Amino acid sequence: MPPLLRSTGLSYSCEGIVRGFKYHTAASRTMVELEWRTASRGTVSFVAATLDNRRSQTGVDAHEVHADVRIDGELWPPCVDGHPAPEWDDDALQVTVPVGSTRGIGAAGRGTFGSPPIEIVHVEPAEGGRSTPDSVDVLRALGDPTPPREAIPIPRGESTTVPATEDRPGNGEDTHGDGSGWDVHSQERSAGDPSKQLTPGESENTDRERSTGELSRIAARDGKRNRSRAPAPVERWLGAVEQRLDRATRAERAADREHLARVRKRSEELLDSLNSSIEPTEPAMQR
Amino acid sequence: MIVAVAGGKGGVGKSAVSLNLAAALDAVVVDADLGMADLPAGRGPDLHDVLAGRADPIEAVREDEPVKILPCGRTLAGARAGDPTRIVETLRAVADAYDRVVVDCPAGMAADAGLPLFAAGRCLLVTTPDRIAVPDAVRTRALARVLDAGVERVVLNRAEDTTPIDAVRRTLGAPVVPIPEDDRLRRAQNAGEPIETVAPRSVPAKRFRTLAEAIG
Repeated sequence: MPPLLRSTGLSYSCEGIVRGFKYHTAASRTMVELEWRTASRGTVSFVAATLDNRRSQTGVDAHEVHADVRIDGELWPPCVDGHPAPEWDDDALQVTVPVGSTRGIGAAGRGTFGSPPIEIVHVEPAEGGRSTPDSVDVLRALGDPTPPREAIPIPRGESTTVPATEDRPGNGEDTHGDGSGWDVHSQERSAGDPSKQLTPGESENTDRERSTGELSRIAARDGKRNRSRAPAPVERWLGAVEQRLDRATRAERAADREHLARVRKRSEELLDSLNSSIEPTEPAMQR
Repeated sequence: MIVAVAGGKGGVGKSAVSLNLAAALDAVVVDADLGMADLPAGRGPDLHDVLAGRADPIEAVREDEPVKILPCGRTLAGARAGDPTRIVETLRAVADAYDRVVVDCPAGMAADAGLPLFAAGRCLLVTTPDRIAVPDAVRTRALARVLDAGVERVVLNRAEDTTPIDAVRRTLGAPVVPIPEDDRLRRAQNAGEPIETVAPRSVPAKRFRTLAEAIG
């Protein structure tokens, strides 16, 4: 495919795709596609490319792709902590691309990139199978985002709020699997008649406490405070609580200040009293 | 093509950017904020159901909304029931069927933010011009780099005339698309619609078109 010129925010850019790069072995076939795009600003050029290994059918988990970058000047590979990324060796790079996935690469340089700017020179099965992370590795490295069990509200029985399953197609079974049926969105719809949301014997305060606890946990997560999904009555209630807390805090501060002022005044009075009682005795002591 | 819209800090406008970019690209927007979904939900199977293996990803895409969307459930129970790693194959399945996918990533640096970046070949960083959001975007950029999601653009929400856009560009290392504050943008977002349908001549609408041209 010939390079396609088009305008961008940079001075110019072109892009293209190299299809059909094939690597044959006796029993398998590897096809890695390279899609690339270049751009330049002043004397600096940029290349961004994707190695696409979704068409390979080789029975291995990943392939190691050896490629050369073609530029008629100095090449600046991407750096990690100030050093060239480990996949790079001058203008050559060696990256592992899992079968069924893609891998992005990019670099900059002073000069003009060739066409294609990156040339695949060799593809081989990756030693030791897949060496790049998979989704489980990402999960393990970054931490499981699943809400803890404690964050899930306690099941309330059959006469709770409109069940979460109302949104689901089908027969109304609890498709969430835990039977909780607690749903902020559902509460919003049923907020017009709070009495219908309560299990007999369950106080409105309990309901509010649960709602508040739930929303607080949500708000605390990653410092993200977003209550836009709370039902309007809950929003109003939370706003009122915040105002009360704010007033209480300010009142406490005022009370503290007042108390401190009283303590300070009393201390000064005691000190004056002490000084005045000491002063008459001093001449006597000197004598 | 899978484009992840990430940013690190919550409340910087990732969902608005996702919705409007998806509209401009004629893409499917996937609300991947498993614990705090923000885009319209409607009725029917959602991402929680998909991640729990109860629904097919394509079945969960709604084409009758103003923007094609794979919505996310609102319950923590639903978020807990699913396998978060399935988001990767889900996004790829939707991309295979619809070609273009925009993912609204959650805030933070946990796996629910990292997995869409892992699945996407490219990403946008969304931030606001303040001293909390920009450092969070820097951290997200580092995460995107590790996960091979190239940063295509930085979307700077609530940009003002005095905002030092060049400093943001230098800090985050990608071209900046400033989106000024516009009440129509917020109103359209609340209605689940892109600003293109509400105020196509507005500055944000033009900027989102420019952004789509750069991405697409």
